[in-house]
Amino acid sequence: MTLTTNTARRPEGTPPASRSRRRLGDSQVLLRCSGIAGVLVALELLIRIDVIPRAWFPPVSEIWWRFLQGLGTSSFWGDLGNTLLGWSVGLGLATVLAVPAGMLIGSHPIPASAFRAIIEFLRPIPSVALIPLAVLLWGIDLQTKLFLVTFASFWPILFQALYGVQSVDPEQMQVTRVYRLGRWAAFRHVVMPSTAPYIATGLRISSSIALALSITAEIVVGAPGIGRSIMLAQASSATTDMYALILATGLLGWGLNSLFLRIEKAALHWHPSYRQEKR
Amino acid sequence: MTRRTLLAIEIVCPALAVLAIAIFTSRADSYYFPPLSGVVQSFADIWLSERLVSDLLPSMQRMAIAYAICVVAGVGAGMVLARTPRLMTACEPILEFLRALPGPALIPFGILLFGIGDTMKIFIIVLGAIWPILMNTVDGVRGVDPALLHMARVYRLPRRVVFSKIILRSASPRILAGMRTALSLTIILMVVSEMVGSTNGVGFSVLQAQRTFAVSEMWSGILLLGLIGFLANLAFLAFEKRALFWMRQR
Amino acid sequence: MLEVRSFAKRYESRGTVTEAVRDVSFSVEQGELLCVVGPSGCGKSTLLRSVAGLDRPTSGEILVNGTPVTEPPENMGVVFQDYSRSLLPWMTVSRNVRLPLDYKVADAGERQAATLRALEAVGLAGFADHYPWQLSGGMQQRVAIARALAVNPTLLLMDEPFASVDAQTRAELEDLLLQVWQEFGMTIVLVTHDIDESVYLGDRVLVLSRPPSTVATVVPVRLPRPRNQLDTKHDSLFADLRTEVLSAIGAHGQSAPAAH
Repeated sequence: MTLTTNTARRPEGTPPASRSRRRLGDSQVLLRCSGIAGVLVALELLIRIDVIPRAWFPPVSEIWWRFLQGLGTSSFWGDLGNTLLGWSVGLGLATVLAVPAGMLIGSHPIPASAFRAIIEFLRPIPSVALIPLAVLLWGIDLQTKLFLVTFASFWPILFQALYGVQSVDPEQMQVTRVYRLGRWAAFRHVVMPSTAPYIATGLRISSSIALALSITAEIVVGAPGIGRSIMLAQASSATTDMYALILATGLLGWGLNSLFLRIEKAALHWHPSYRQEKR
Repeated sequence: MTRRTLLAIEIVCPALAVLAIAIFTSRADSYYFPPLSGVVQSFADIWLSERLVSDLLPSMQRMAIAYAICVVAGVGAGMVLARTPRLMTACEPILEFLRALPGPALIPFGILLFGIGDTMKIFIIVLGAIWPILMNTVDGVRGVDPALLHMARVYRLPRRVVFSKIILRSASPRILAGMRTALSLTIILMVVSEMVGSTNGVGFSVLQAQRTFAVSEMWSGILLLGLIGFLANLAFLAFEKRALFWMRQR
Repeated sequence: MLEVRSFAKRYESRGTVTEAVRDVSFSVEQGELLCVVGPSGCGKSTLLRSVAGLDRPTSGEILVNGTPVTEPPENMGVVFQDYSRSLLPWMTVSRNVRLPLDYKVADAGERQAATLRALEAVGLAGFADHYPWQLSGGMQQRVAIARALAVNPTLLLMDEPFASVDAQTRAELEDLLLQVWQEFGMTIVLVTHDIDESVYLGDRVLVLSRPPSTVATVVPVRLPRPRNQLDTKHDSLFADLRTEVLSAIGAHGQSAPAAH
């Protein structure tokens, strides 16, 4: 992917109109619920009749029960807090760094050229390659987690901000010049509203990356959080605990993703695809 | 601003950056940031000799197998789900959950099931990287222009032809977008699973180098992983450009 | 050749029923060129899609050569309005034209010959190895026509085939259509919203009323053939027929698309 303006190309990860435009009817809600119930019941049965060995997979009901019990313990909330701390601070740092950087780089051909090759080289580097460096520098401290989360979630936001600025309609910019609105007004009324949906998309992508890296740091490095507890549960053969924690992680990821999808929709309220959706 | 000036800027700036790193690291005399020349030297010493076979090759093998499974299973399942809307609706919540679950969180689960062998790693990679391909295939197949399907019906084209020559092809831009995301996930999960449970592989040896405080060696491993990511992305872009040649003019 | 009996189409969504077509009956002779016009929303495209076997009437019957249409009939060609959506961008022009033949004609040489003949008929023999997106809109629509011709159709259905091209190209394509009709001698049903076009091309013009549609009138076009853009359109009979069709549509006060 190049950094040049390319209107034909949708920004990465834009939610497909087909999926978001659909409204759920009663029968579909029913179908979705029965889908979940079907899988859970099938798993439960397969485990109860020993098709799936219990050593691998305790009955689903037990996992849920353990999950609910966990909600009453302080250790679970401590883990969750640690994971979310890494997620939120890292994502926040990445946003603060990437949004201005992306908008600056995207706003003019000179910085766009200067940084193109550097960005194109740095971005595909797997963030986890930097784990050893972070450990060498900071051990299992919070900095390690923050560094990894920030590095990984920096790129999607940077790219989305960059595309967003480049997608500003030149004619709208001309309107602001014709009416002598001034730079700040142009930025506030044209650049920001056009870029916001792109940044929102970047945030959604980065949010799930940030969570993944937070968990990764906990699993690989042993930084405190849900990931470390999953690893410890497995190592001590507390299988039910392990699954309950994995379940919690999945629900957390799903919840954060839903939250950011909402933010994205809000940022996109003026966009044609969304106006159609409202009709 | 002419194109030539911009091109010059594009080439000179990264070169300056590399030069700056080289000068900084050779002057700094830092334990954490060894001279660039030393890192390059150790890269040549380590990765172009015995580790090539003992670590790099196994890593690449796991990646290739897991990625192939992701593509075949993801596109196949996506096709089926897209053509059976009721099944898709029923499966959607489960799929959303699995997709939102960060892949590395499943590593302990993988270890429990398969120990720390190759099976575990391939299992983890597939379970973490298949979703973008599957979801994009579903969207792509659903988004096939009805006009094309009408054309196919009018001319009574056989089903398998409609699938292979029209539906799959129409959906290919979306499928390829998913494959690209899956490729970087594959590399990440390969590295992480090797760091957590392995006795060889690039991920394992990079972490090992850090643990034994072989800093130059560690940096050379990071450099290698960066190169793998970069080259894989480059190769994929070239492939995508060929596969989607027909989209250039539209 | 083609017979439509009491065709009706109703749509139902969220409890409300919309009656698009109430009662349309007509028949088309072998080798005839029938144009269908009507105000927008009168269901003319729906009618055509049903003849093509892509849609089902709510009630009524459609017979092609005496057989009820339940799926797309054999030996039928269809040209859709939007050429950019009905051609496959990943196939060359000749592959696009040959695609239906690949599963219809066993002999490879025969397929090749039919493809070439169709491309020659639309004047695109020199563009066989181009991709559709390398051609102009008018040329792309010629490819779609060639694809329809290649199957050697007895019935050719056209759904506003020239609506997406500019006026100049449109006139060229109209004449091209008359020419291939002469050469291949098939039956043609062409839906259009352009009254001039319907009179210029058709043997008869079937006028549909506003929805819920019925047949407003059928205007026989007694203009001599061969027709050409200059003389035919300056014939006083042409002007009379135009007026007749226009008044049947009931479009008084609306600007007719005559200026195209």
